[in-house]
Amino acid sequence: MKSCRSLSFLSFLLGCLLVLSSCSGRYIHEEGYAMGTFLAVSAQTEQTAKEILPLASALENEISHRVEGSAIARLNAGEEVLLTDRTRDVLLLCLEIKEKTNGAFTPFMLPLTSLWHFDATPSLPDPSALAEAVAEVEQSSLSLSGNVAKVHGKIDLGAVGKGMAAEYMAQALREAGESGLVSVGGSIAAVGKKNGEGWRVGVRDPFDSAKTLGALSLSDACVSTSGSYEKNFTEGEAFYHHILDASTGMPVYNDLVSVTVVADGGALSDILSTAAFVLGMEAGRALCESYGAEVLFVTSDGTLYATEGFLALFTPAEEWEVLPL
Amino acid sequence: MKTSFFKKTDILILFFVLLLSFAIMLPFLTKEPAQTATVRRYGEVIDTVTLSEREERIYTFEEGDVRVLFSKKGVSVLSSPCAGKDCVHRGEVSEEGGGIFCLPLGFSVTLSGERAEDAVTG
Repeated sequence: MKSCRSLSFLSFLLGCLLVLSSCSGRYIHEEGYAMGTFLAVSAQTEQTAKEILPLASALENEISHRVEGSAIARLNAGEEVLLTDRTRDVLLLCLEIKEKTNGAFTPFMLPLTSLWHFDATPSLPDPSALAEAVAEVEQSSLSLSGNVAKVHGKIDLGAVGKGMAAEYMAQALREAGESGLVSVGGSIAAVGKKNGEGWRVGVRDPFDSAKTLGALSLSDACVSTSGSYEKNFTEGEAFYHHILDASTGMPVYNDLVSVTVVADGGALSDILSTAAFVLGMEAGRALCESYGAEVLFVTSDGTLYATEGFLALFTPAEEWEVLPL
Repeated sequence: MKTSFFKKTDILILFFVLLLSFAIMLPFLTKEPAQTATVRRYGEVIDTVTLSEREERIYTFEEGDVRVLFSKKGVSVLSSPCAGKDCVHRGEVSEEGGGIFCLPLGFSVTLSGERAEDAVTG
């Protein structure tokens, strides 16, 4: 009886201590820069946050076509390259989605993206150069034998790199046994929960970059957004943005201004957000659903449409209403 | 004879356990000190400014100068050599955890404090 009472009392004390201590979980926040964009890591320890941050640069050195000696740069130079598992896997995913979208999404876009220079000073390409690049993109292919790859054409992983980096850094967080949040440009990966609740991830308002359309509550998921507002220029009265139609070499002109995708993986969310933008709402939604991903479309007239699963995660800002797809 | 479940020593121990728990929590309950702005270039901190009186600072890079205005209210980029000038058009940022980001220059100014959102996609 006495021992039972003591045990109960000790358990009660321990419970008090644990509950009160756990309510005060704060995360360490570190910021950085890689892949031409800003990075942020929120982790439970400073050591983990500092260790994870440089992983984006390491990945950039592997997959950026701009980095001399990277796997992708060497592939683009015509070499046969032994790929890491992660680069092989992301290329296979790109090829799978290329096939599913009949080339609306393709990883072989470098001949086109290099003409537009959206990462530097963009300008309207010469029409004949554009036509030549379109043909080159269409004829591109990748041969893969195990991890050994050779490409006919030129690869640009700009549509997947940030999502891939977020996913890779999130994996490192998991392996460290911590919950946290990784942000690489607009691609975000949430690991676990923040003090018992989902991580709050805002979705940028494409019409006013200082505001958000609302917030997602995420845990163990990734989100990416593709939008015509991100990189663009105007020449005369014409508006040109960076999400290109591979069949014409020109920007995609549909009624979409942004597409946000929530998926299990960062690379997947990044690719799907681009592919869904190119495909348009109906086909884009079908593609996302085939991968178990949830999606939000914003149209040029300011209407928001979302899948049921996205709606379940999303709290719109007061001035916005989201219509179910 | 009826005995109470808790003895006096039990209550004393419980009091000290609760006091210890509160002591652990206390640093996380107190407010941040006076607001600061952190200036970064390619992720590296190059300046930290305590937001008090109006102050203009110039950051010189090979691309040109970035002029930033700091005040008690917040921060704004007055001029930048970047092509798009999105950082300039952003205007004044005053919310906790907010910031101004110039992607072409890899330049950012972020305010201390916690944002309502943990991150923003897009």
